Amino acid sequence: MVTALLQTAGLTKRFGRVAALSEVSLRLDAGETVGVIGPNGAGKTTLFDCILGVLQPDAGSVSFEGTRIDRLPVFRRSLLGIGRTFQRLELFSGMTPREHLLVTERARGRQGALWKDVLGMGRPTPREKSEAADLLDLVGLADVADAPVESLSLGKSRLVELARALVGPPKLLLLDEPSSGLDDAERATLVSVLSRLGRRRDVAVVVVEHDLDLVSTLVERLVVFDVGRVIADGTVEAVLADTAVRRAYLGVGR
Amino acid sequence: MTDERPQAPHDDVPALLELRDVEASYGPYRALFGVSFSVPERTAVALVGSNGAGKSTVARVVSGLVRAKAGSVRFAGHDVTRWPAWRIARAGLAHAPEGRSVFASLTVEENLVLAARALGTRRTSDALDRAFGTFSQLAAHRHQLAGTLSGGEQRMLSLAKVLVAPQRLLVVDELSFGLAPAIVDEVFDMLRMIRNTGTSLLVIEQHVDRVLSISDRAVVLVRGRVAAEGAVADVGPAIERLLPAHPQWSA
Amino acid sequence: MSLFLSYLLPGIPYGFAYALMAVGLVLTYRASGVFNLAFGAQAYVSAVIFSIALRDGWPGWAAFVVSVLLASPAIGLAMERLLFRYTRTAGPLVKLVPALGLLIAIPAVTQMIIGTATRLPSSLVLQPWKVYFHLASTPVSGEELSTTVISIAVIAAFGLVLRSSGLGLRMRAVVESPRMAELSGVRADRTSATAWVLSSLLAGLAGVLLAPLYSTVSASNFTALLVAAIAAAAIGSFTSLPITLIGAIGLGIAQQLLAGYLPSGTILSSGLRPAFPFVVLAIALVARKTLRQPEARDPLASCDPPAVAFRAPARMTEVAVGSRAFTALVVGMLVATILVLVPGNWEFVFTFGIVLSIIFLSITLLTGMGGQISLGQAAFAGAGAFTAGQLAMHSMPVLGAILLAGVLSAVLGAVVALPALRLGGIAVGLLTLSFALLATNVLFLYPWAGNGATGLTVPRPVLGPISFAGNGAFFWLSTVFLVVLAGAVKLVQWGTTGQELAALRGSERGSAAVGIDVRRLRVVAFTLSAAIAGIGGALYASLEQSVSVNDFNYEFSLIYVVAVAAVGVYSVAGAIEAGILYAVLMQLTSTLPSRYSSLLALVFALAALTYVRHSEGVVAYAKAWVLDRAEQLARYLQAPTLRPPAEPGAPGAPVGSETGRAESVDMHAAPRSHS
Repeated sequence: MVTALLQTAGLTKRFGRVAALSEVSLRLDAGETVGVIGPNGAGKTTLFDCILGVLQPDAGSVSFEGTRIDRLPVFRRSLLGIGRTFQRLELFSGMTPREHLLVTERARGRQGALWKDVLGMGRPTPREKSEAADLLDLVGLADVADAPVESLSLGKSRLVELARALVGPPKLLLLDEPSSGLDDAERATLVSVLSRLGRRRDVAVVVVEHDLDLVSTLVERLVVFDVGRVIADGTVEAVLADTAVRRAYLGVGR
Repeated sequence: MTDERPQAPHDDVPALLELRDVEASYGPYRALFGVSFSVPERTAVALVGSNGAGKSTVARVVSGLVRAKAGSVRFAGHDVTRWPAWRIARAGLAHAPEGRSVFASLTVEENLVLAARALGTRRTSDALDRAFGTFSQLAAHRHQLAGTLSGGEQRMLSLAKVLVAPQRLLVVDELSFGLAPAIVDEVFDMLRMIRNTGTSLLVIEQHVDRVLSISDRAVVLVRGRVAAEGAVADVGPAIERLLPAHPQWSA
Repeated sequence: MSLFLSYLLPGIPYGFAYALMAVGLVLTYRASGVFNLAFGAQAYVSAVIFSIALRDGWPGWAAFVVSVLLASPAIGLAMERLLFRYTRTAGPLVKLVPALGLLIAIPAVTQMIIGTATRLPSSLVLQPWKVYFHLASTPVSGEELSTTVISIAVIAAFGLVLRSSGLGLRMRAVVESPRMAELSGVRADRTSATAWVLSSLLAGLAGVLLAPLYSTVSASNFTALLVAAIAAAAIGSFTSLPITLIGAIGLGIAQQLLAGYLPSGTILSSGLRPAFPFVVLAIALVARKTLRQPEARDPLASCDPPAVAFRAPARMTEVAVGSRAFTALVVGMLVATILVLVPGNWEFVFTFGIVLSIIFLSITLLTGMGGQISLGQAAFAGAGAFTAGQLAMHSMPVLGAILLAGVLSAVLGAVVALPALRLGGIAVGLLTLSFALLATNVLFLYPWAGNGATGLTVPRPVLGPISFAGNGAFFWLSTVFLVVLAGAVKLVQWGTTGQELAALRGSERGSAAVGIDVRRLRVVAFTLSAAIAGIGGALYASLEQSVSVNDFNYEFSLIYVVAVAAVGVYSVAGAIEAGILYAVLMQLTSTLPSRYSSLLALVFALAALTYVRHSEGVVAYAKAWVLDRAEQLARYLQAPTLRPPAEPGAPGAPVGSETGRAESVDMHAAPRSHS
């Protein structure tokens, strides 16, 4: 059997009396694309936080390419090849989109050192610059590449986060509501970038998304969360036909 | 789950709340672009729209948490556009914001006493009796810290605050957030009951069919602008057309 | 046993006075997010007014009313209305700097207006020196009795108000979420102002009650009171009033017990007693889990516009070149003037300014670039100075000693950084402050370190045939050091470390998610900054040729931060401007009568008050203003049609004009998505 890219087993996280995740066991293979849906507060963002290490789960394990990673700090997991966007933006305020990508290239490349900085060798290399420029073109941000991120719309800000998560490139991409707040043009960019990624099949994508139309064009598999549990997991068609899903998520069919 | 009340002819009912060309932003981020609609007296209005359409911002502008950059908000005959939130609250507008909307570090009773006193209720004990009489589930937790209540109980407490002082309009934001379906039903029953006491409602909700079931009118918000407004029966199809990406309508 | 009690009992009045101020600190911190260090100054003002009123023959009650019930609350109210109501959504540095500025400015103003007070008995009811009874054969004076009784009464009344009255309920609600309190009809701003008034009253009371326990009414005694109160508040996690109370009384008692049991006459016994609260503070900060994320999230915090980070706007090429040429001209003229025209004294002043600039650079790196607040930079400078002194005494070449001083300070910086890793915001500042206090009260007093008030002598360096003994030569030497270090800081800023620090300042979560080792980065920033401060301190020692612990008092750490922040903390130029300005102002004020000796501190502290509006610093703001106008002019000259110059922020103006941020952006959703 092929080793799973990502495997969670019995993942549980409680906040006070509320279980945000209970006994979540999921397997994800390399190159797979998965949509995660569920009502607000069903535990989708908590799942991402536990995978990347922002939160420590109360029980359960997380493995990446067959190795347990649930004791590693966030940055180590990230360097293993996990890229992530945030539902509440976590941009580097005060920096431009280009600087976002350059600093990420440097962090992922692990080539920076203080002594190099002091000797004036810390500036971005031509390779880093061209890769950053390529990514900016890819997500359609070339024209605002040198404006402070505070001046960007929410949609463009989300695309900055997407580009930042694509630096590397990662083996696993976790996208938390990437389309929320995007206008039509930005949404189209998002779809084209993600479907290109999906076709390349070297990056596994997990996307939490409310926009079912968007999700169903991008992913082959859907996982449905409700009150911290996985209530359905399967192909898009099968899951959308499931009445339990319709009841929990869509609020119809009662 | 049909609505037994006849649709009121809305042109005759005076508006309790009226927004006119309201614009709002968070720093450089503009959220609302000229939003206009009204909530008539004794009417429940649903405010629907996709994520990030500006629904919560409308609620915040109405209750004074976010000040409108342009346009005006009238409530109960006053221009409240520049009023601070506490003054709007005292005028009879209750806002139960999205997420946690009770004081976690106060007990259930203290939460209610705070609201009753600040809103000028004379006989606090009567008001408490009224609230606990209706929300009997809360009476059992009277001296418990509100932060230790379950999600559903917290939502009930935020609704119970409306009962300790007479309110003319209740604005609720995502009441079902993070609740199991059965609890959502219960909370919506409470909302229906509050509506039946004569308090107007402005309800923001992701479960569109649920909210439409208790509403007389609906306002559809798309990207910070009103895309449709009218009686539920008239707006329903429009919602489907305007929100093709919305999961509730794609199924 | 009776010996134990005789050590313990005198600690109780101290404990209660600490408790009064600690309760005030917690209350304002919870109500407005401001850690009001200026309470120390408010206590001082009340004590001075009270003493002077008594000296002038006022009846006790009148003196009490004016000093405790009027003066301190009035200052607190003014602070809340004029400053801190606007900082609710600001970052920790913006909340801290004005409070620090006031901590320095208020005693300075008091001294200039009212003068200094001598110690006077302050008991209101009881005879101060009369021994009323013996407890376990320890005499209990009226002084101690009244302090204890009044404190207990006030704290009990306070507890009652908070627990059961409408005001208490409102305060607790506002503390949790001012926005949500408003939705319940509570006037949050008024409630928070009430919290400021009440806690200021407590601070004033603590000052008046504690004044007679010290031998002099000096501002630094009240800063010590403040730090003890901070430690007590930290024990209570800045949240719990009962635990804060117990902690404060425990601290007062423990201090007296230490004084009793430690071998007398040693540095440890004389130094540890005042420093003990800082040890407790440091332990509490590191050990209390809840302190690591002290800012509990207000569920409605997203109503406020997102905090905008400072960023120097990009300039038109012509303007950028012009401004660089202008800077070069000014610097060149300044240097020429110093070398050719000014008398020797001023040469020394400018050299001092340059050395100070080097120490200030350490703040630019750590706080401006790294976003870490440090209130202990003077201690790192002191460590450098004394290392250089000790090495020079052991016949090491001075130049080498200065460089090694940087290395030792760096090690010290790394050691301090380790416990700071788990903390954020203001807590890092408090931890470094406790390190500074420990350094000046204990560490620097040992003969093998700073040799106490006597200090050390450090000769001017010699490099082969070149001697830097003359002031002129030393000026050039420090200039070389400044240029090299400033250049290094700039290179770090442009390089990996600087960019990663900028990312960290923007978002810690985001930084970790892209693979930045946040912990290592923090240690690097602290180490580097301490090294720079150490070299600066060593140069200072060599400039003065003799240094003692008084040159690196912890208060300097506070003044340094205020000075740099007020002038401009985000740029290397800001550090140099602050250093030169500081030295020049110090020289100018040194000729004034002694009463006005604090004028310098006052100038910088008042500048810090502008910080709420211009967190980039007043000088940086002024420069940006001039350059904005220059750009408008340049654009006007380039397009000599009838078109008027574009207004900043208006359509057509470049993104990032004026303040580095666009005025408004077309978008259709809130910055935080609501799902």
